[in-house]
Amino acid sequence: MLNRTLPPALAVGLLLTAHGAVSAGTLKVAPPEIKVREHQLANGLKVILHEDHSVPVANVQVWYHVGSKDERPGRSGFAHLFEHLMFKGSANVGSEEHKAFLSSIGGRYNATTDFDRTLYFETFPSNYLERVLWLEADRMRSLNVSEENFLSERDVVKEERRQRIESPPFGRLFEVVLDKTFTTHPYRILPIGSMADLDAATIADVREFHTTYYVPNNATLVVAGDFEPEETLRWIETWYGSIPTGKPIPRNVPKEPVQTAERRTVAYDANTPLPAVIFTYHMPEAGHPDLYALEVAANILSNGQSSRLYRKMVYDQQIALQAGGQTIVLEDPGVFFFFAILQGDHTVEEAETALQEEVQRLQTTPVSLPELEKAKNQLISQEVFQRQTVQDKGEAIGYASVILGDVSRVNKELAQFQKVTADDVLRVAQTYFKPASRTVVHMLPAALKPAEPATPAPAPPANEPKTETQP
Amino acid sequence: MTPIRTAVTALALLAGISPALAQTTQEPKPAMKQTPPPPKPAQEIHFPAFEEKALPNGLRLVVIEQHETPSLSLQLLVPAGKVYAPAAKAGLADATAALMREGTQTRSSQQIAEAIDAVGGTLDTAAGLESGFVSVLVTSDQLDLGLDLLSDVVLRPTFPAEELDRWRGQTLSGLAIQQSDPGYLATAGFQRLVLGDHPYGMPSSGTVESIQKLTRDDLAAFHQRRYIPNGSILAMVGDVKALEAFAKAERAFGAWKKGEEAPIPEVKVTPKRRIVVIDKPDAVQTEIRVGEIGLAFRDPDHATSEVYDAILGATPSSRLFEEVRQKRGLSYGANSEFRLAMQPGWFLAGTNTKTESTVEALGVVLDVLRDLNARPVPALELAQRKTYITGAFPLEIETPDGIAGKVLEALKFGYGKEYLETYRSRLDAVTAEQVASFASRRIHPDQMLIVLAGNAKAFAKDLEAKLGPFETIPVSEVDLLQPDLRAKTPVTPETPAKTDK
Repeated sequence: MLNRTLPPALAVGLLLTAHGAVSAGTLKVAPPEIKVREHQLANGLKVILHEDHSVPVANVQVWYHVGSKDERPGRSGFAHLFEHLMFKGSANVGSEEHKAFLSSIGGRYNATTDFDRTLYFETFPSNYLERVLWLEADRMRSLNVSEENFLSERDVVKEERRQRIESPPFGRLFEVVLDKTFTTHPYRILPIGSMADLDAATIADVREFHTTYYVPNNATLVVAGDFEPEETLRWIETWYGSIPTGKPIPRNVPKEPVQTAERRTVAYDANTPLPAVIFTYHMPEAGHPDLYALEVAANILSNGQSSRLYRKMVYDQQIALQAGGQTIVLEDPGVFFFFAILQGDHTVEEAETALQEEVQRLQTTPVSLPELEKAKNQLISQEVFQRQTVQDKGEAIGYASVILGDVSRVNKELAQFQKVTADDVLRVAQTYFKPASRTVVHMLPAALKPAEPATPAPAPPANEPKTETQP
Repeated sequence: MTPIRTAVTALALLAGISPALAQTTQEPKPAMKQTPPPPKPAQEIHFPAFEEKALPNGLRLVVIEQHETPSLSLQLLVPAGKVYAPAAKAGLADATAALMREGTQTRSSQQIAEAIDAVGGTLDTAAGLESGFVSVLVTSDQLDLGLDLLSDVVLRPTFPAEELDRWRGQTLSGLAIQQSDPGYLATAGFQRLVLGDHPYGMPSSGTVESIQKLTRDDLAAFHQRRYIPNGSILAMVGDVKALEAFAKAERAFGAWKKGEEAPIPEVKVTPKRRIVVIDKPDAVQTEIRVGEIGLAFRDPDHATSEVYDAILGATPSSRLFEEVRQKRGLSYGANSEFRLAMQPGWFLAGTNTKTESTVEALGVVLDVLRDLNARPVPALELAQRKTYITGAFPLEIETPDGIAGKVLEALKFGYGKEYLETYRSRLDAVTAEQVASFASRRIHPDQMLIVLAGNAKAFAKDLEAKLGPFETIPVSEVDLLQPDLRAKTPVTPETPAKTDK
């Protein structure tokens, strides 16, 4: 890709320039409100409609509140494998037909599985809305996967793992980082899962998963775009109303115990071309009031070439090719991570010191007013830029409803960011960036591995990073 | 995408993109199937209105008003892509674009970063095959600042030496990452070999050798010659009024001095079977690229090639996806593309697969290509692939940037509004006979270039048995500056590309 070798635009900044700190003032625009209409069917299905007639296009999203954190031990990767199988046929739709139909009308469709939810979506010419609602209803009501299709699709998912995780440079970085950051919570494992667990999955697991999680009382249907709401609600009642309610959804995800001492790991990996240093800190769950200040901190650290970590580590010191501090917001407590990918002959120790200085700076000195204002402007503009398509708006709606638990928050979050003060940022940095809550990972090229350890260990396979955990 | 973004995105998306698609269902179906609900009548689609104006210096201005959200996108396209860079200076177009935003006569690098970050906007520069791109995305209350920054970096960059050195260090580290990425190696190697010595095929981001040699003067000279108003187009799209935008753009760019237009060398290559394996012994997958020279944007076969591509591999319902992924589970994806440019670009089909199934997957790709040459496309398949393209058109013009992209492309290649308005009917008119004729004239499955990047030892025997002799290049000896990809001398050990100590 074109910009592969360039530093990321997301990197970071410091406010002093030849003219001193620059303040642009607060932007004079606001993202348009997303107007929604909520409805619930008797079987528990939540329905949220958002009209937008600017182009004759509609978007349908079905959010199932199940993700990789709901997987049983030994079945990692299953929620995602299951997502693939949802395209393999249902009572009235053959294995090829869902995608064939959408393709034939020029529609776009896909699905994504993350830690917390699985999302199916279609964007298409709006005159086909009832047909698409019908397609989604059919696979909510029934699933019809042959053994042959199951096995072939499992191979596809294994290739996906090779393509996304095992082949590309840094592909395994986050797999190692999360494995060290969490000891108990299933966030320890990426949604793609492990090869061994994928191999262990059976078609019986598939049927059980559908019965347990793919039920109206665990689903939210979002329709955004060009449609007539009364007619659409009638269609939804027709096609979804008679799908039986499922049992209460099991929610027994193991909790991550409070981390009481720093953890450090050095890993050597063949697909790590340059050394990388990562710090992670545990932070609260999505919707928690402290996340606003943490997100502001992430912008100050990482957003743009004037951000703190870019300015310091990439631009001034030239230690790093990339550096940043970002949030991974999840339904259960998530992660704030600092990272640097090293450049030239600089050492992980140098990078660690530089990152640590910036952590401490956030904890000891209030951020300046121009920095705070800049971060808030970035949050405003991101919301303006990221809500242009019916797909974008549908996702914002679904996230507010399914993960934040209140669809009205789709229009309220920005105001919360605007209230954040320099003291708030100081306080959350002190609260969450505690040494005992930190996990440090040094991910190093395999070539840097010291020769001949004292006790011979079996050589790891080429692409399995060998990890050595230090107490 | 930068590597860490890849990691972060992978984390966010991990698992899920791209659905399962397969063919047969074995299980019995209920006797009575539901009848799927029929569609409502289709609505007419019109390409959004836009206004054009040309300045005396040749710069063309376009305004597309879209008042749905308070955003404003400024996109400038300049005839300053890599095709204009000398072969030994691979990476020059990229470098010039990158360094334009790292200092001007009135602003330092950090002042530019401060100015755009303070309003939550983005300022990006890049170079493509033929064009340099400078784009600004801001909220619509920042029109003045946006134009000021855009014109400053385009008209008055100073290319400070220390900024070039900084960029060079980063780029050399980035090249080390690319050098370990089989997907990059296969694609870049394919492009280099398929185009002979034509600059379209040179590596966009350069090589360790070419990047080390670039000087400040190279960049300043490239900027001086290529960043010119004639042949450039500025699109202003979003929550803006045409009159105001024209007036302010004229103020910002009116004094830009005309330059000399430069010809693009002719692409002339005869297809000839060649198989090259880039050997990366620790690879778990093999990246597969198959193709030849394709066609120019203005080629009379352009519309037919889009339909052919949709049948072959442009979509997840196309044949490559169906045969490689759906039927055999050999890969997560398989696709094809025509890179259309002023001169003919490449035609490329590709996939990746676990090492053990390398030769099988390559065979499937070749069979799909041969089959499409041998037999006419069934009527239903042709109709569905055409409606795929025409139905997707309204989705592609949903956002201001989507509209701008279409307009810039049409104008760059010498077309106008009518071309965009008639796009769907042109595609719709393509017949099965035209597709067959196109395939027989333009697609040569048995003379195509094949580039593989993977663990050669594991599949060498099978490959030779199936397709005959091939060349192997160890990954450490790949040099994209050389016409045969083979480094003349080993890469110098003290370069940052090899950080191991």
